[in-house]
Amino acid sequence: MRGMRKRGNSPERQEKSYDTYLFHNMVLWLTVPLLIMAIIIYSVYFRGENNKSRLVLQSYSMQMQDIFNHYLTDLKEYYLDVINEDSYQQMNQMTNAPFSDIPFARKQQTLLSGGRIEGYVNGYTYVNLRNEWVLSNCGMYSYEKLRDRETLDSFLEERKTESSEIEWVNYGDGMEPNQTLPGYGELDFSGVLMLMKTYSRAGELESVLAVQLNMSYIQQRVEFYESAGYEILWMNGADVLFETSPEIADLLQSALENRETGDVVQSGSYLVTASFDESNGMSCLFGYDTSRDRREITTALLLAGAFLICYVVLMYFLRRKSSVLAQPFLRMKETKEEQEQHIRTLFVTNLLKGEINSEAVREMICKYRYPVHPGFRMMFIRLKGEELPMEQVLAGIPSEIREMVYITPVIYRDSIAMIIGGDEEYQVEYQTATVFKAMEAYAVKEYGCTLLAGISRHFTDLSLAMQAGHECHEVLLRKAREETDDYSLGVYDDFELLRGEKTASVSSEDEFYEAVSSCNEEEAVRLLIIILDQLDQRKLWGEHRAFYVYRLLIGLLEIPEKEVSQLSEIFERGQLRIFEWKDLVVDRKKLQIFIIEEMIRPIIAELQKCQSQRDSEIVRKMMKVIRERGGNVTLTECAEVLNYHPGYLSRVLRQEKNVSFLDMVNAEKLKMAKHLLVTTKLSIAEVSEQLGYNNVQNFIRFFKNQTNLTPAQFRKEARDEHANPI
Amino acid sequence: MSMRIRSNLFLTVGLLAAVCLTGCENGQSKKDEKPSISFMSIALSQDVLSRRGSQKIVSAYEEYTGIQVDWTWVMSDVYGETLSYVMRDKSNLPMIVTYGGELSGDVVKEARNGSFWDLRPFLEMEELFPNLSQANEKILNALTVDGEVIGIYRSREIGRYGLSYRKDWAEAVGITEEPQTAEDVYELLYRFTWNDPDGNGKDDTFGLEMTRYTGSFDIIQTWFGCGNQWVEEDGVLIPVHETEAYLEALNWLRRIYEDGLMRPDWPLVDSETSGNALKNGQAGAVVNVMGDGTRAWRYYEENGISSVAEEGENASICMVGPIEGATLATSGYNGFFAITKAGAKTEEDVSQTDGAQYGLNQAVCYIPRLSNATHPEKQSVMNQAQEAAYERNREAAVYNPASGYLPQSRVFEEKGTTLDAIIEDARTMYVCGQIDEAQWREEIERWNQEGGAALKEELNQLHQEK
Repeated sequence: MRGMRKRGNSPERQEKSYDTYLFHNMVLWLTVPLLIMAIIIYSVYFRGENNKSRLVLQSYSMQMQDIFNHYLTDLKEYYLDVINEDSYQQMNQMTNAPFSDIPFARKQQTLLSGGRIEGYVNGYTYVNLRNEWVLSNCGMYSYEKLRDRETLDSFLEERKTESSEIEWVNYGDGMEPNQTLPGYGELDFSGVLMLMKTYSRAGELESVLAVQLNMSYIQQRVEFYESAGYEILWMNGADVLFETSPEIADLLQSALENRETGDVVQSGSYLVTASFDESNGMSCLFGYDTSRDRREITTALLLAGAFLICYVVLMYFLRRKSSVLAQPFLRMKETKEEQEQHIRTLFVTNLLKGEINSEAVREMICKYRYPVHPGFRMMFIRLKGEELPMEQVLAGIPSEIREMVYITPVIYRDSIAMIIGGDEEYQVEYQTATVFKAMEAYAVKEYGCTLLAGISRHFTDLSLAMQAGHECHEVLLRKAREETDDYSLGVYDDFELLRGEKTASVSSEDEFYEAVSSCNEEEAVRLLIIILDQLDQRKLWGEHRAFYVYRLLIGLLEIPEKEVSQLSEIFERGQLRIFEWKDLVVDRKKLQIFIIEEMIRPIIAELQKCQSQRDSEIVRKMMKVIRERGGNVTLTECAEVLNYHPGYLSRVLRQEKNVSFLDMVNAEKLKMAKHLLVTTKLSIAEVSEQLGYNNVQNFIRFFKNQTNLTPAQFRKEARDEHANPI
Repeated sequence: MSMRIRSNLFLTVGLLAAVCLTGCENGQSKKDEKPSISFMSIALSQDVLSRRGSQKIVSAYEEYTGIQVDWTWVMSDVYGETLSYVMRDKSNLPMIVTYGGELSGDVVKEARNGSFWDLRPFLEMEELFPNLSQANEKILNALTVDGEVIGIYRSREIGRYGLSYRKDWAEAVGITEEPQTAEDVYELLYRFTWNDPDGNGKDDTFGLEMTRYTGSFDIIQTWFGCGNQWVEEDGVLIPVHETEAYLEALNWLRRIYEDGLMRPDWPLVDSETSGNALKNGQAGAVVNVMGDGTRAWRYYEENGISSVAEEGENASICMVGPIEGATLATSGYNGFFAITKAGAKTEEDVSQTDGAQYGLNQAVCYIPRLSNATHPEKQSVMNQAQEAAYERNREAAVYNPASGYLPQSRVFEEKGTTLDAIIEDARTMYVCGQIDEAQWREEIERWNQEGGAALKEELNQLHQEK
């Protein structure tokens, strides 16, 4: 029971691990393709997105370029118109600020403030250089009234050097942040300015008009692009006029050195393109930050990953739950497994017992899909010196050893029997050695003892497993008998080589003889059957079989011979019928009955009788001498051989057996006579001669005295009896 | 930020009034379910109903009034355009539409087409609408078309206009008493200009801050008793520029200009800079909305502009308000809610007898008048001073007796802009000394010829009819 329970555990463990394995596989098969798909989609999406981004950037950059161009063109056209107006010329000529003509000044302000392009500009400053006065959207002053003359002077100084009529400059944040509009006498030259200059006929700089561009107008128009992730850098030469993000200005610039209008280049995470307006000296650079997309999809991927993790967690959770539900099924599986193991064990045990023929073996192998090998060896294993329940040892065998063993290891005749199969003989041998080593390691580790192993010869058919088992057993017996610790491993082949053909099943036979001589009829019968089975299984026929049978019978006859003097004492009236043994060799059934009925039982009966009235040493020696001399011996002669006084011998005989020496000689003579009469075809005269009678009449008289029959009558009766047995 | 929230609050609270007028009444016809009204209004920011607290206000409002409101918020910059489209589609017209600014010719036309309910009968029901019935008659006059009141006005402080000046400067130049008369003001401005009030030794200050926005002149003119655009003399409406007081005021202003008490280029100064000079110490006084003074004062506090008179103190503003017991009144409203006949189909929708129990008195903040009672700014010194000035201004306010007629006038509709420009330009030229009195009178004659005479006739006719 303990063994069973223990065996019950390990399949469960296996079941569980297999289950986990399956589950992991499932999760793996699900997640890995998903991940791969995600990566592929990611890259494909990006390639597509990048191309798309390029195209969109090109198209957008053109649109944005248009916005800038329109803005600039409108602005330029309008203010060129303004400075070509008569009133502007008039203003240039005015020697003083027109305080006396406020409506005129107002009209000029209206003109300068943008008029039809309202919203394009924030403010303006008109500087009359010749007559030193200023008109801006916030007032009108002569130079003397300016609070900060230096700003104007430095501004003009800077601008004088440029000879072009129109200039674009960026003065940055000129005004203080909390002062949005200039006060009295203050000028505002901050921000992006368009400068328009007029010259007198003499080529002298007459006036400068500084128009402050309303960048929020541009900002509003490019807001859409900016919010869509596009960066814009608008430059006049090296001056930045407008930028959406100062951080990437350098990046955009460096990316587009020596590039043509419309080229798209990748710089860092930015796609950059530009358009260059040679006539204005303007350049517009547009950038698109692709990392925006990347961020988005990365977020999406992270979400997907989180989802996947959730999914896996859910799966684990479900699995845990489901294992509870699956318990009955698992138990069923377990039972099935146990049954299968049971069948395997049964199968192997039956193989060992020789209870299934080769046809059935093939069927079994087919049915249970056991592997087919052309060659096998059998190995029996016992633990040396330890009295351990073999079931426990068997159950504890590690699974890697089990896997090496054919079908399954079983317990048979107090040993663990293992069949080891292989395609080649050497493979089988190697495998066997491996299993033995593994088993030895296991035994040492678990039980601290070494092994005793018997290995059969190589055999090719599983139906010969019984024979192989006997071989193993025999090896084990011999090993045990030798009682040497040197060799824990015995191979039947070795004995075979030593003894040749003769000793096919020495161990069984020896056991059999022992059983007989110890009067254990039951055991003797069992062993006999085994021996006979072996004979059958080894498919020995004809002379080979006869040899074994004769050897067995002779061996059997030798048993009482050691104990008792005359075989004829046991087998009266020609019971042995040695001439008919030939028939017995052929017929197994007859042989078995014969051996049991006519040999084992009488022998055992005799032996028991002998044991009950065991003769003393002297008596036996005397009887031996009588038997050797064929009864032709006197008391004196006998006493001489045995170195005893004849009178002592006679007295011992009388005391122990209540017979005289002569009686004993006669009894011996009679036995021999009977034996010769039954077993030979010698004539009565020849028999009497052999028995040492000088006169045949004396022999006949003697025989008649003893048996009330003449020798001839005796022989006749014995023969009749044999011809018609019972 | 606080300004924004406040304006939002103003707007929302303001709306309560009109909603209650229709909605609460509506509620009576279907007592069981919450009545619903539709309301189109001006949004000052994109996220009127999504700002923090907005939903709280709305739900509190709906709970309080028992009305569900279907709001339509339209941004202020496109409101006028949107409204004109909406008004054409009578089938989907909201019950209440909001108009910004003052009554315009377009609205008058709509009113004459019968688009709006005449609210006069409802406003007379004192028991039902205890608050709304207290509406200022003078302001309602401005919203009266052909004798019908077409909207509930969004009231605005009447006394917004007045004089503010820099207190520490005044102390520095030895003026401790608030000016009472125009002459006092002249003295103040003179000293601010020539007595170096900031003590920096430079001639860099002006008395009066002035931009091209001439509203300041309109206020100053009332000091001389010349009324608000139009004045009624013996039952006849005459434009103020035809009064002698007007010329007197102009002469005073011309003196200010000639004496350099305001910047010489004032007609060329961007009106957006109004208040800048007071803030950055270029000018010492401003005659405009009191808020200019308040803002400058706050600017001093926030930027630590130190007083020139007392060490360790920040500069401050003295908010005077009226001079000579007079100041200009505002129109008294800024926009109004009109109830459309297309939206509010039946008279029952508008008039319901039990309306009062839904707490119109509590819900209305514009009428009888705007209350600032709950505003935190109220606590500050500046706001207290401003509120006090408003109080004084309200009492001294000079109204425009023709405000209700002008939108109805066809002549004004056609020629109003031209006519105003003639007087505006002439006034500027006169103040700047570019024309003399004779030329001024010539300009007035031109005004009459260009259509001013016809306008006078029409307005007086409207006045007689009333």
